Amino acid sequence: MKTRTIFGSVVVFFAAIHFASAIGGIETAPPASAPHEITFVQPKEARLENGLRVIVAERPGLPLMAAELLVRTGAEVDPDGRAGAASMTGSLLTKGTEKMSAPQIASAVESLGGAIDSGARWDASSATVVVMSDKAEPALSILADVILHPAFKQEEIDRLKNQTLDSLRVVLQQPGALARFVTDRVVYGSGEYGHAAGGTMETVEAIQRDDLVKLYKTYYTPENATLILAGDLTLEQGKKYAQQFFGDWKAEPSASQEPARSKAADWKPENIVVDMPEAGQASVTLAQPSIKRDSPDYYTGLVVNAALGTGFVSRLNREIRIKRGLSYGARSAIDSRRSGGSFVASAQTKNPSAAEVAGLLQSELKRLGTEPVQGAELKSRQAVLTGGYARNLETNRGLVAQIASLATYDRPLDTVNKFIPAINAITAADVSAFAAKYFETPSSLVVVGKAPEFLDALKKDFADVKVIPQADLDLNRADLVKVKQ
Amino acid sequence: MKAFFGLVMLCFALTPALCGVEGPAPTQAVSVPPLPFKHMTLPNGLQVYTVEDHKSPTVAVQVWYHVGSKDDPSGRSGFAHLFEHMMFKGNEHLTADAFDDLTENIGGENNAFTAEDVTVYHEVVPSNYLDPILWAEAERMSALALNEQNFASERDVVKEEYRQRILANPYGEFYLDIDRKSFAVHPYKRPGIGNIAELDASKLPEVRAFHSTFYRPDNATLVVVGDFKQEELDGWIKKYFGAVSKPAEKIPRVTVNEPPRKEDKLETSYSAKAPLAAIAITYLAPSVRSKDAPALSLVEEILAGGVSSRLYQAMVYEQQVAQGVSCSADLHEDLGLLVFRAVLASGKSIEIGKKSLTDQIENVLKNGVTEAELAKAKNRLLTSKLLERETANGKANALGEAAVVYGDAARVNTDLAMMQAVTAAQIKEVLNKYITGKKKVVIEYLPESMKSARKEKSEKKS
Repeated sequence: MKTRTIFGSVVVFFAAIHFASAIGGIETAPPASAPHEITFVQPKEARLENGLRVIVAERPGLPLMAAELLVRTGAEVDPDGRAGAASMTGSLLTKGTEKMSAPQIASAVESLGGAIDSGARWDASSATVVVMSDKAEPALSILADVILHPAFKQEEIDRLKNQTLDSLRVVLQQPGALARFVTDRVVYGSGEYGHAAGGTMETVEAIQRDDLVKLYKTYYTPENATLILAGDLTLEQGKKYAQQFFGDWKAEPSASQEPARSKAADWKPENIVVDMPEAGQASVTLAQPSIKRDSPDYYTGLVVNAALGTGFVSRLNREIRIKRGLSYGARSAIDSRRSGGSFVASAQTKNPSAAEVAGLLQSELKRLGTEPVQGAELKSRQAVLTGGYARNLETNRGLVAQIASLATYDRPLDTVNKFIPAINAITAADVSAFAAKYFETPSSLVVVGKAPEFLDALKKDFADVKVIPQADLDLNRADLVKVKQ
Repeated sequence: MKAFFGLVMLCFALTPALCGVEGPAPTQAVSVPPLPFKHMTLPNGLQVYTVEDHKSPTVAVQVWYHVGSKDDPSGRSGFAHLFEHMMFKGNEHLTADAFDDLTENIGGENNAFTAEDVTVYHEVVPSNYLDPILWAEAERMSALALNEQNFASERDVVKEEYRQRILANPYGEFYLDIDRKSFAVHPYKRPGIGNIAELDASKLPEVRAFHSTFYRPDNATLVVVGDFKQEELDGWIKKYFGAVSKPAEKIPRVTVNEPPRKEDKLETSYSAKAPLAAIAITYLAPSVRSKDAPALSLVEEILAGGVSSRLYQAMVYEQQVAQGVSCSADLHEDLGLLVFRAVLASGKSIEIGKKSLTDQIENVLKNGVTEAELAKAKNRLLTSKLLERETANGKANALGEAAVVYGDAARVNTDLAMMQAVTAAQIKEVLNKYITGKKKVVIEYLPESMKSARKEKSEKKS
């Protein structure tokens, strides 16, 4: 029999144990004492005359400062056929300015003991630097230079293209990574989030310097940007730095037009297998469109997702890892963005168990509706979220990332201290309503692996399985299949 | 995730770098505040290190057992790591969910890792849960719930971990090869993640024996950092851990000595999964306890730490022969390896890649490093130590590593001063000490497509 209960194993164990006295004479865990209240520093903000928003989280203690210059536009504006353009624009910021070459930028920041990084994600682009706080001025001076005066030299574009292509060659040989590319297409189709944020082999080749310069001129403006500083400094110091280094950034007349995209309204679930002959494991994913960041159901979604797939004792890990040993770890996520969102549940397993894992992912998703998350389970999932949130905010980098997310999605800064109460206010009824509202629609299935080892079994439980040989896969198309020449 | 660690995965292929142009490196103005730790030894031999710190209402608890993958029994590669997973199965008083109930379910976290010399169990909990988590750690030190069912199921999880880390990764076998081919006899040569056959061969009585042999108070170090009252904490530690008995048997230790290498070796293998060629050059290096260790950590920074490092600058940026490079001084308790690695850019031959890497090594052996490079490396290490100490868990990691792996807890505070005192002349000297006149192992890991290309070439030659 495949299923067993945790109780069963403990009972068997009683016969085997050879050491019976309880530690400290206590046979069950001693009780916890009263909890200690947790609050986070409230970020403060100001605005420069050119429109740049400045946010400072004052956190004295260790002599460190983390900084991020955030631009509230990212890979969602990649032109058609140029997937990866926003990412490349972001990466090239630190690869040369009018005054400094790429090696000079790197050497200057690293000599300060820090690191500078830039790039784009969905809905945002950014450059970040972390240094000891006594080196804030030289570090911010370099951060401003890369944001205000990037050179986009052809030589650096070519170099970055080659590096990106080589990275893609490696990434596309990994079943889990390839499944994520496919899943984005399955959820968003030809919509703004459907393409690969980092590009594909074909689109990276196609990107021209003009694409990058155009994206930069359109979106890298002070009105569309936020400077976030956290660490051993005050708002006054932060404002002074912002004025000193970003005060000359010219406000451009904002003419940005969001490209028109198809909506996800016509979304239909499908079952896709990518046959990867060399796959050392199968990656199994269930996915569907989900809520946007400004949805009133956002916090409920986090709790529902935590019950399903966050942590060792989430439902997916209980069934797939703990009870059956089928995976090193299963997980799920709701990724809520400005104008769309996705729900993804996934696990990697040996090729022959792919169908079993696919069935378990599906039955656990259904069970959210039939066996409500309530009582101790609900409480524990709220604690997973609030505890993880608090740990993330312990570091300056974590705090900056959280503030950046709030700034990206126009959430008020006092949300920093409202997250924990908002999570704790979610009820079992909220969770059930969410499951009924969003998980009635079946999800899509994506399996990337050695198809001959699981396809027959998979077809027993999943209808209309579309099998795409790895060699025929085209990530640039919503239907994922190469056009035959 | 009850996770295996000590395997550096693809990270190095993504390390950016550029170098050559040297900005003036500023002088030190800040320093890392020392960790004011307290130490006690219980009568049963347990070592205890604590740091009271009320920055956030949480506390980090770690138990370091001085047993690692080098102690895997013969024919049981991967056993110490498999055993680590079994430590979460509870006992007569601890349910199988106990650790999750006392961490994850109340907003904390728990995990563990197995390295070459140590196995570490770590938790972060809201500080009002410190008392029960200490009790639970002491409980699993004293006894474990083991049965065929939970053993078979957890072994399957570990096999999936192996598949995920090694089989599903185009360079998984390459990483394993570095240790496998570099050590002649020392058990460091055996991958800590093991292999499917030896995991399958492992038996339940061996798990019980491993617990009674190595999981004992006189082979363990408890580290607690965070929001507690010292007197209350000491009372709980004595009550719970003091109740664990110390066995009379001696703790077995690995005594194998790795002999000096007699000749250079070239090891070539081919992969159907790897799209790009990879190469590693290794030399034997000293123990992490050696006085050369601080200089070697600076060597890592200068050669491959960050975008302006030498290897990245030369091989990735200027020559564009490599997609990624790394230099690591993988120093363990008994000895270590100095490893130079590169994943080549597509279209570059292994000969060109090897020559480029070798040229860089020879250059630094001959000409040493600049003062600016050294100052930059010191600043980078200093910042990374500060970042580590932002959290209670980071502080506990640093303290545990110094106490158990370095064999001297004080090094958590003295290493930085030692590192600051290293001169450019010492960097050159220490590199020459471990490379010049010493034998190297070269590991080539090539795409299958290069096999036929090479064969044709050698046929033409003959």
